[in-house]
This record gives sequence, structure tokens and C-alpha cells, in this order.
Amino acid sequence: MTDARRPGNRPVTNGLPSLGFGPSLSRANADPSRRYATLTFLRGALVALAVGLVAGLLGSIYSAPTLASYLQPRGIDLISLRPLHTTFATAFIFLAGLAVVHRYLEDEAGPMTLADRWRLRVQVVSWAIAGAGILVTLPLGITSGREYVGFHPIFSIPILLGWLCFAWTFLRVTWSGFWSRPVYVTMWGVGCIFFVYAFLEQHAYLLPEIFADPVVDRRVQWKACGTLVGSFNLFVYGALIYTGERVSGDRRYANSKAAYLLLGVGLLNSFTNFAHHTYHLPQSHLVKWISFVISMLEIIILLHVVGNVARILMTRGDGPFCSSRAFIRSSKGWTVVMLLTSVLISIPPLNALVHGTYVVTAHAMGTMIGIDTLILFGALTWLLAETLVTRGQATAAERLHCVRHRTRVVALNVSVAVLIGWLNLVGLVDGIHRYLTPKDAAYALHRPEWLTNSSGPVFALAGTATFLAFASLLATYLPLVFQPRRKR
Amino acid sequence: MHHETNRSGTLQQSAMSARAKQAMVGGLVLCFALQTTLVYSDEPSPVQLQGAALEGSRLWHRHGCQVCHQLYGFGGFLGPDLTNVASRFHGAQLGERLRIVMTRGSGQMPPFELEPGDVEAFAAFLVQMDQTGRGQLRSPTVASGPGPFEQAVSEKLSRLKGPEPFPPRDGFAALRTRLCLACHAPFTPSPAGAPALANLAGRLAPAALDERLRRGKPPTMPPPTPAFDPRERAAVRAFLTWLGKNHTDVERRTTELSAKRRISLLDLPWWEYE
Repeated sequence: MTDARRPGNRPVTNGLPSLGFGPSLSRANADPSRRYATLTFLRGALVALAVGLVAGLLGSIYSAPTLASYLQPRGIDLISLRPLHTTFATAFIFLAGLAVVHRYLEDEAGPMTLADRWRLRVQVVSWAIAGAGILVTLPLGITSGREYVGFHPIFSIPILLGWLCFAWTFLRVTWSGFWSRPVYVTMWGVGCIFFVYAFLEQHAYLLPEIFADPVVDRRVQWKACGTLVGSFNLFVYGALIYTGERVSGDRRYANSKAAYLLLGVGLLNSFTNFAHHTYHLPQSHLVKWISFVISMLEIIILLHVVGNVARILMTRGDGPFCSSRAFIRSSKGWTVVMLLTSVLISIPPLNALVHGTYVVTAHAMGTMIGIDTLILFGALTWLLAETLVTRGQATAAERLHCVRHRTRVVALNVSVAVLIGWLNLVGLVDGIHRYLTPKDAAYALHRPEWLTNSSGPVFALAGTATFLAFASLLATYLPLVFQPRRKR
Repeated sequence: MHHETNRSGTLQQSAMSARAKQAMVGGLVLCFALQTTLVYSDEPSPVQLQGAALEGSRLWHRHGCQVCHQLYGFGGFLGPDLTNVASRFHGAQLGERLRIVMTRGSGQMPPFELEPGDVEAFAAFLVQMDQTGRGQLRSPTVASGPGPFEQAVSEKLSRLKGPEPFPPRDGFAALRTRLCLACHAPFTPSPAGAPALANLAGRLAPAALDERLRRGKPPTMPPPTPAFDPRERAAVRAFLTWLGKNHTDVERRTTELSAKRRISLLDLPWWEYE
């Protein structure tokens, strides 16, 4: 089906996007309540991303001293912006991952039970309350002062409650024959339980014995941060494999021995390599050696995972899911780059050199955006297109796979590359200069002149460019995802 | 969908059995339990916060200090690492410095509303953190001793002949004890937005410079702590004037000394440092 349209909007593909394999998996036959759950999390993910982006933009502007002077008198400073950005960026990852999981449940779970409906309601309401509460309290300066869970711990209660409701529903559906299901189900199931543990451990500082020991507090905090990231990565990589399977129609990988062995090594890393965050803390060397050795193993294996999935997608040629493929292909490139830098900064002497510099920010943002977000955008693009086609809005779906949209994907990759590249450069120069500065010397002597003058402004520019790239994507996705269903 | 039927046969051959998957995940959970046990059973720090220091840690969290500052390199990177900042101050200097910077702000650091006792609590917390270990890596070959700028200045000042009422070397010594170099870089604007030391005498009239050395420049520059006496202010002005006139030579010598510093990967320790 082709429409007459402007050249820039001409779709790359012919025909409608595929609905996947097997008439039993047609979304038109899925329980409407389950379809609604998928759509709800898809919408929530994009809204969370929008909030995180605005906070990130303002945060990058704040890094330029002359621009910070405009924001500060208006009560806008990094104390609220940074935790807002990290909270809602993490929320995007989880919500998008859950949207994909709910898509899977549409095919596998049958109609929702009454209990399923109530658990879904409780989850959505409690997370909405938590999100709104965090959005209000952080700008008022009410913060926990912690990493990743920078909001007041009272909001952790509804977050955990919602998560337990989801975990219950998911495990109820998948427990029967759990170990015979594809690898992404294992990932999601383990991720459910892993998240609960990691999230609780993030709050270990509330125990007086841990809070009173600043070194132990930091050992545990960074253990919990590392495992929390591991838990949401399980949802991201599960979404990647599931989407790859649906797009390509090839179920072999998700059920193969190779996939499980790679999962095994991935889980080994998530479970044990967190101490590469704390090499320089006073801590048992055994813990550090275990983390170092395991960290080195992960890199080889993850390259293999992404290469396999991308190969599956690419064998389809110019199929109907070009944007999804573009996002996932991009994430493959980022995986190579980020894994390479991860190898380097997991080597203890180099870690010590760049620890506490923007190299760490580059690593965190590069993996969150370049790998996780691009994978999830690939999955969400497929999911959204499928939703629109099911609703009889195929023309709208084709907007997600047109040439102009591809341009946006390229712009996003370029702007993120500039941002990450700059952060790495600044961090490396800072780390080397700090190393060569006497221990009691003043902070002002740490940096060369050119870096002092350019660090903040370039960060602000690159952050703004990244924001604009994402905004152009959201300007397409948000209207589509909130478009009311047309009456037939 | 005949290709699925064929693929079913292929699936059977390459799939891992349910028992093998259970064993794998179970084994990994045991690895996690082991690593977790190692972390929680590790030796505690010799420093246990209590009293004012514990309250200082609570204030550190309540005010979100970790958003911009770091302890052991953990936190945001807009401001400096404060793990060992206490060791650079003497006596009541740390408390005075905190009071001024936190109530007035400094550059991108906003001012805070503090209660009585908060500054003392922060100071106690930072003093205790300093005793837990070394938060930032330093080269063992340059760990102690003056940096290139201090060396260059000392060399040039040692060649000054004749008595002077207010020797520039006394002014330089006074500057260093007040930690002016924490914000002012010698030849360039600093990350905190403070102008270069070499430009100050040329930019400001003597009376205005003296006023800055007495009161600072609210809200961005706090007054020196402890305060300069009149003789010290005169010596500092003499030093800044001397630096302004000789900045080309001093900057060149500083660059020469900086260039001689080399990072040697073999010097980097494997795990901890100091």
C-alpha cells in the first residue's frame, strides 16, 4: 500500500509491517485488557523519558558557569535536576522493558483474571503516585542524597509495591513450564526477583550500623547500584531478543544453548562484578579480584550476543521494520564502543586514574543511551507500529519507518557520540592532571586552561543537541501513542 | 508455516534442558550469595561516625551534596572531591571556610540555609572522612612538595635583591595559607569563575584590591580565612603586583616544570594508593 506524500516522507518499505508469526499470535485476538496494559507502559515510558530529558537538558546547561547564573536565581540547580534526570531515565528503561513483557503476555497469558486486573491497577496507580510525588518533591529540595534512588525513601514503598504486583502476575503466568520457555522469559523472571533484592539493598543505608560506617556504606551502595543496573539490563536484553525473534520470525536463537550460556555469563557478571565500582575503596582484595576477572569475561560474551541478534535482523533485508533495525544496529555499534571503554576502565590502575571524573559519566550515559535506550526504541518502534496497524492506522505506522525518521536516528547517534566523546576527553585529561598534581595542591590547579574554558559550554551544547534529537523522536512517538483509537 | 515445523526439529537439537538451566541459574545465585557474603563480612572501617560527625553525614544527604561533590570519587563531578579536604585546613579554618561557602554560595554552588550547629557537624563529618583513607589517586613521585607554579614562583622570588617593606615572598606565603589557590588559578580563570591571580593587580586599583583582600566579593568570593592583617594585605598586594609584571616569565617556567611531569603507567598502583 503506498500513499502519495512528500519525498522526505516516502516510506522505505513496501506494504504493511508484519504482525509476526502465526495467526494465534495476532494482536487483534489478544485480551483487550492485556493490550491496554502494554499501551499503558509504552505511554508511561515515553512520558518518563520526556521528563528525564528536560531535567538532563537543564542539567547540562547548568554545567556552563555563565548559564548556571540564569538558572540558580530561579531555584533551578543540580541538586534537583540530577536526581530527576537519573530517576526518570531509569524509569524509562523499566517501563519500556515492561511494555515489551506485557506484549509477550498478550500472546501467552490468555485473558486477565480479576486478580491480574487488580494487581495491574495497584501497580499503575502506585507508580503514578510515586512519579508525581518525586516530580514535586525533588524541585523542592527534598532528596535522599543517594545515587539512583535520589528521591525521598517514602516513594520507594509504592515503587516496590507496584513491582511486586507485576512480578506476581508475570511469574504466575510463566511459572508453569518456566524452564522450557525462551531465554528472554528466564531473563525477565530472574530480573523481577533480582530487582526486588537490589532495590531493597539500595536502602541499606537506613540501617544505623551501615550508615555510621562511611566506607561500608559506600561498599554496599555501589554494590546495590551495580546490581540494580544488572536487573534492568535483563529486561533490556530480554526485550532485544524477543523483538529480534518477532521481527525476524526466527525462534532458534531464543531457545538455543548458546543463548543460555551467554545468559549465564551475563548473570555471573550482574551478580558478582559490582566491585569494579569500588576498586579504590578500602575493601577485601578477594572481592576486587573476583570482580576484575568476571568483568573481563563479560566483554567477550556480550559482543557475541549483540552480533547474533543483529545478524538475525539483518538477514531479513529491507523488511518492514527498518527503524527498529536502525536502532538495534546502532546499539550494536555502541555496544562495541562502550564495551571497549568498559574493558579499559575495569583494569584497576586505569580505573583509579579516571575514577571520580567525567569518564564515569560517559560510561553510564553511553551505556544507558547508546545501548539500553536504542535497544528499547527498536523494540518500542516495532511495538507501536504493530499497535497502530492492529487499530487500522497503518499510514500512521508507516511514519515510524520513513526516511525522515531514519534521519532522526542518525542525528541522535551523532549527538550522543559528541556528548560521550567530550565527557571521555574531559574526564581523561582531568584524571591525568589530578594524578600529576601534588596531593595538597589546590583544586584550581587541576585543569589546563583550554579545558577550564570549554568544558561546561561544550557539555551544554552537546547536551542540547542530544535533547533536540530525542525531542524530534518524541514529537513523532507521543502523538501516535496517545492517539485515540478510531471508531470502526 | 512449514518452516516453523522444520525449525522445531532444529530447536530440539540445540536447546538446553530444563534441568541444566535450573542448575546454571542456581549456581549463579550461589555465586551471588558468596560475593554478597564477602562484602558484608568484610572488615568495617576503623572510623565509626557518631555525634556531630553522624549528624554531618545526615546533612550531607539532606542537602544533596553528592549531586556535585564526591566522596571516594562517588557522586557528581561539578565540584571537587571532599574526601580529604579536611587535611588541607588547620584548626578552625575548615569550619570558617564551610560557613562562608555554604551560606553565600560559590559560582555554581548555591547558598544553603543552615541551622546553628550545622557547620560544625559538616566539619566533624569531613574530618572523620579524611581519616578513612585516600579518596583520589596521586602520583607517588609528585605526591608531596610544591607544584610547578609554586616552584616557579619560589625560584623567581629567591632572585629578588634588596630589602622591601612588604616582600612579595611573604605575600605568596600568606596567599597559600589562606587557600586562595583553591579558587584562583595563577594564569587563567578557574572552574569556579575566579579571575587569574596574574591579572588582579592590573584590573583593580590598589584600594579596591585591598578591599577584596579584606572582605572578599559577596556573594561569589568569601573573605580570606583567617583574615589578613594590614601587613599581610600589603605583602599580598606586593606579590600580586610582582606577579602581574613578571607573569610571562613565571608562566613560561611553570609550563617548563609542568612539561617535565610525566605519567608512568608502571607507577600506577594495582588496587589502592597510599
